[in-house]
Amino acid sequence: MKKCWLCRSWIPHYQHEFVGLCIETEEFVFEDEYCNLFELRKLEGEFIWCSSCKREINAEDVEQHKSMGHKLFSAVFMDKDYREEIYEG
Amino acid sequence: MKVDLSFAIGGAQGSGVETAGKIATLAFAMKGVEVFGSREYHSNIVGAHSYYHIRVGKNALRLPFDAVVAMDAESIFTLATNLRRGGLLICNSETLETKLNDIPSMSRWLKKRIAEKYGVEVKAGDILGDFKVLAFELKDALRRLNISKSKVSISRIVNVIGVSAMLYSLGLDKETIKRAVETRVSGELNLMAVELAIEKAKGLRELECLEGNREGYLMSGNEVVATAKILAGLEFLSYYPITPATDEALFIEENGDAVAIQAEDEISAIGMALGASISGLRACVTTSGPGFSLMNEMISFAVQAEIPIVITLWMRASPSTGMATRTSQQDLFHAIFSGHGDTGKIVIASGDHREAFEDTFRAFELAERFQIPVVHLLDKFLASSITMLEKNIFSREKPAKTFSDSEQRYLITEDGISPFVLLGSQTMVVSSLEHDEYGFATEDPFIREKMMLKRERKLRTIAKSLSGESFVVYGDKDAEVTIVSFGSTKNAILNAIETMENVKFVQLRILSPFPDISKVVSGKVLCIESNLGQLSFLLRTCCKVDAIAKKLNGRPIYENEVKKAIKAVKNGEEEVILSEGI
Repeated sequence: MKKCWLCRSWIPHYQHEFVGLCIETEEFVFEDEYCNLFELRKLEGEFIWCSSCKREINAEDVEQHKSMGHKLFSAVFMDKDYREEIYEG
Repeated sequence: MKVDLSFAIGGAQGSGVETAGKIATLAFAMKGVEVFGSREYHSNIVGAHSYYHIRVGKNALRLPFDAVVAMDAESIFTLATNLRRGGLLICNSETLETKLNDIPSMSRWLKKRIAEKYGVEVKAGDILGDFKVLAFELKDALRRLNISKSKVSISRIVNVIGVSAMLYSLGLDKETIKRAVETRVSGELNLMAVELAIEKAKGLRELECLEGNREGYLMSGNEVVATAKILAGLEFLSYYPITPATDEALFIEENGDAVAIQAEDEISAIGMALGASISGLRACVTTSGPGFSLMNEMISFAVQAEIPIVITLWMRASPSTGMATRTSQQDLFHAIFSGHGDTGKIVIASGDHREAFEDTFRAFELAERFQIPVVHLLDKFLASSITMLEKNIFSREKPAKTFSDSEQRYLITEDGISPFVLLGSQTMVVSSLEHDEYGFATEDPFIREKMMLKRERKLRTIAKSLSGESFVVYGDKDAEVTIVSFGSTKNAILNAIETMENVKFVQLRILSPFPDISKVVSGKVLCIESNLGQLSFLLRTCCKVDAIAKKLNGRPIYENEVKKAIKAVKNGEEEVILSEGI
């Protein structure tokens, strides 16, 4: 099945995970689209983003989250101005 | 038209809730309507649920909400369970199928409470009851806005859609909404989002064209105090970052002329400020409970060496780091009794933004006049809530400052107040040790006694001087119930008693020296406070206390809770726990 959310180039928006950034085209793309650049995602890295829990998890916890049906990604997209939404201190 | 609305905008921390709340408050302010907004947020920086609670037509919060914007499932479960019957819910249709147990980010305790009421298999769409629901198909909405090649902030545009639909439904016109959005967030796409939202909300509009005649500046409590310090001629600020004080310090750094230093810790921060004050600068620190703990030794030094210093203390939910981003009034004892030894000081408590502005000036005046630490007691609720302040209050002149050329910095005087001599202008020593009239250290028993009695006379002079302004009485003279409280509970209490007969409110403005209010209480005395009973303990030194209403959950006291407490005390209850809040 080809869907952007399964593609290695697609990283989900951290809050609204139905939309994400394609790092190949640098465009916002919806999860249910795809293009001819599609390549199946493999989870890589020490920390993995769990979009169901909305937090980073350690690589050793991946299987546990997978077993609960959580959506896991190697990275997450934050709006560039998200810091303006956070209180200092 | 008299309007009274209470609504909330929810979402994950860092997801545009702050901007949406500010757009909403600004839009109502632009129409001249009274508005009060407050942010409830989690201390985990990003991800956990937070929300903006707004009251229109009044200056205090109340529950339940009349309307809620909840663009994710967690916000629906969290906020819609506090929405009144028939209230308006604006949401994303795709989240309505989400089950409670499919939201791992949500607090398991809140999930448990919701599951007890609706069952563990409940979906967001199952709790809608008789709400009016405006459900956006968010994915389609964003497609229509053609966001793909834009550099737009997705969270913000989603919240612009939600909040625009809300504002239009609640009686604001399209042009005002657009102006408020444009002021807070730039970009054509955001204005297109307003159009899209209003098109969808047209059928829901019940109120027509809200208009008012209020004018002023929309400001948070942090901004009000920072602005007051700048206008009062602050020359030196030192601080160590801590919620909820940091935003005040950053505002001064960005907008003021004062030397502002982020110190390595709170001990250094107050040490630097005391040094600046000895040198003749108008100086202050700003902090919260944990930081104030570290300042204790220096407070004692300031009392002994008679150094003017203003300490702005923003209370938050303690003990220890407790709940760093939630409100409380737990530092009352801490403020009054801080410092070792006989460390008399002045403690002022502000009830709202306007008082916070005036008290900041007053704190500097008192600190310099009496050469003593002044603790200005505020809290997280005031820090992060926004309201409109009349422009004319900002035209206040800064307090005058005078120095003496006396040769005796610690001259023994009848009123206990010695001349304030600028460091370097005379031969003098400033130290933490007991001293003679020049400041030279001594352990002579005669001098020691004289100096102790001089400092005691100073406290008596302060008490006499402040006796007419220590408290304010609102309501019926011979009321059946007297509410006594301090700080940010003020407007919730005033709004609650507005429609009730035989209730009066004594608002304590100065907490050290603690005022004697025995002559103004009548009937049953109800003490309302956000701690385990610190104020009621102090009150019993001058009058009886029949009942205590305590708020302990880290959320502000709501107007409806005050009404509940009054009814309870009339029914003979002695303790009421105020448990509302999200």
